Amino acid sequence: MGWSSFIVRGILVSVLFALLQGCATSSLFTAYPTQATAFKKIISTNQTDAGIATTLAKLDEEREGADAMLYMMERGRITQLSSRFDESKSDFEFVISSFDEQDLASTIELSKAAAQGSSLLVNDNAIPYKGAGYERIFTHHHQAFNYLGEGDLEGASVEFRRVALEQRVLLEKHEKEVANAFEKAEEENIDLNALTPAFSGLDPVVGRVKSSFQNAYTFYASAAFWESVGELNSALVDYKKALEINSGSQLLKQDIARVTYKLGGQPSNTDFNQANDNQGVVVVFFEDGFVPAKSEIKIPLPTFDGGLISLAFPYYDIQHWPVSQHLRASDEDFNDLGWTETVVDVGALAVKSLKEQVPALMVRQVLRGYAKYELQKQAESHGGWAGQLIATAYNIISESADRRSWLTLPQTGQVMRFNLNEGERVVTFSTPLAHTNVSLDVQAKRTIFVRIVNANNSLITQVYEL
Amino acid sequence: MKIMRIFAVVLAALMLASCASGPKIQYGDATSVETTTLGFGSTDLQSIAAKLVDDLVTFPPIVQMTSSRRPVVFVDKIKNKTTEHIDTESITDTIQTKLLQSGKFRFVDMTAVRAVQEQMKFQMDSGMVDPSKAAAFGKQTGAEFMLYGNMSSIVKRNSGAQDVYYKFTLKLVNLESGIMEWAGEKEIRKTGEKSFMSL
Repeated sequence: MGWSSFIVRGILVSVLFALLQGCATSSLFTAYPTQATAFKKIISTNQTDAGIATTLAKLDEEREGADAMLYMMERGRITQLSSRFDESKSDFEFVISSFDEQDLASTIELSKAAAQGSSLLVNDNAIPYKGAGYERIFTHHHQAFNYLGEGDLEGASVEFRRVALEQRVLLEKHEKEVANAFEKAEEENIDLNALTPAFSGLDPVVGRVKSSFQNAYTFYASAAFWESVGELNSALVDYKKALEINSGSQLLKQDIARVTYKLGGQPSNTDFNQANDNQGVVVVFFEDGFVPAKSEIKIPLPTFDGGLISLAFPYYDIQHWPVSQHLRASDEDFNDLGWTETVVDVGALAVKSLKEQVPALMVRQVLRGYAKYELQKQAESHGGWAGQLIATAYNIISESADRRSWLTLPQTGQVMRFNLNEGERVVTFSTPLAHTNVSLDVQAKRTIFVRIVNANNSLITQVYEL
Repeated sequence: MKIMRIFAVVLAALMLASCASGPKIQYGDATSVETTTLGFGSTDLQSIAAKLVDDLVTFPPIVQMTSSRRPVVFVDKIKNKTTEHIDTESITDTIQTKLLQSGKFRFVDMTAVRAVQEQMKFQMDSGMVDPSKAAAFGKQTGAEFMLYGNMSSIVKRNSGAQDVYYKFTLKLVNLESGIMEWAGEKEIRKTGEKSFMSL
């Protein structure tokens, strides 16, 4: 072998590496949760503007990419929590229009079929990110708070109406999608029963939620909003939907009794947390922690010729599931104003959503496993040195699970409601590891939304006066 | 070698996926039918304004009332009760413009009132305007009627199709008596279906 071929080989290898480096921000080669650590770190009270700007600029570069939707969800939440409502609004508008496009996208899209094709040889990360049902609901939820942040009540009301519509539509169409995956498996002769037991470990967490997208936190936010603007019928409907999901909630029973009373009905409950004439209402929305990221498990699959290939699947590590904290509120005289009550476990929504995708995932993964196995065998027999190098490099790159999901979302959404006498009030909010004081300008018969986000044990607070 | 080719093709496809051709820009007819998406669009706005203005100016009692004078109207905000962010002010602007051009009504513009107030205050108080030539307070005409209304929608969607129904209601009320002199409604239905194949 001459020097020239050595040089050619060297160039080939370095070009390959350069290519891989160039794609570093895409989740094709860097696991998404690794990238997201930087986004999560930026959500904190002690971040400099320059630090935030750098991360936002980096996220902005993804606007043209295949996973733009995912990066814009992250960006929208980061900008919202730093009270840049206008910027956040345009980020979420991008996400919403992407979801809307999917609704009317044709059944077979040739450009997407190409991505599916390359995913068959690489991995699922090559398929453009489409978003999960619960992420769609949270997108509209956040968008409503952007309008509230700008003081645009009509805009917020549009988003709250929209989120109710989306929850209803998802309920109707989602069973059908799960059934479709089973049909496809049958067509391809894949026995899902042999593979699905690997996912039964997720069941304890899956059991905490009724569906993968219905979100009582969002229902509560919209109910509290409708109540504060005087649309009591809408408020009652949404409080009831939230109670349907959390049937044991005392808070929700009080809310329903109060609104029923206001509507002139006879509530079954006598305790309804009604504000006096000289009091204002404070509704607290507490978002604790970060939703866990997907990890990866390898499941061995026997091949038709007696070999064994190992397939990488996304998975949630529920052995190390974080425990959510509650938030306590107290007034200037250290009197207890109450504790927050968890109404949504976002982690459980994410796990259930993954579990529902398992059949479709398995079909793709098994087909890919066979395709790669063929490729490797051919490389070894015909490719020689270069073939082996490429096949090896290729396997390292390609064997990774799709671990993408919106990771700046909280782990749980909690709520609390109390009444305060009018005037300037200071309320202390505390978790076991952090506390913060919030001054509120309480006006009689008016509602204030206080949103507190616990990220990395720093409490970010936002006050929305309605 | 087949293997290398496949690999190269996959890589090339991944890299090319981000490329796109430049934008193509052209002028179009402002009144042509627009069906880019199912959402509220220019055609809806135009058809709402045309229908309601037509209804109002041909309504017999209104025809009679406006035959000898041009009543002064004030336009209130239209309440958006849909699931879309619609600029309802732009709908009322179009309606107002059309009514004004019909020559049957006159309008007071509440958004300009504050600016007018400031200007008059300046003329009166600054000492820089000749008092005999300054516009005097208390000479503006009050509105006799108010136009207001709301817009609502019903959206239905399944895996194959979408259906949007809009209803726009406009009312004319006599501010003094509180009597509703006229009400008009415009309904719009739009449907969209998934195509089987596209690029």
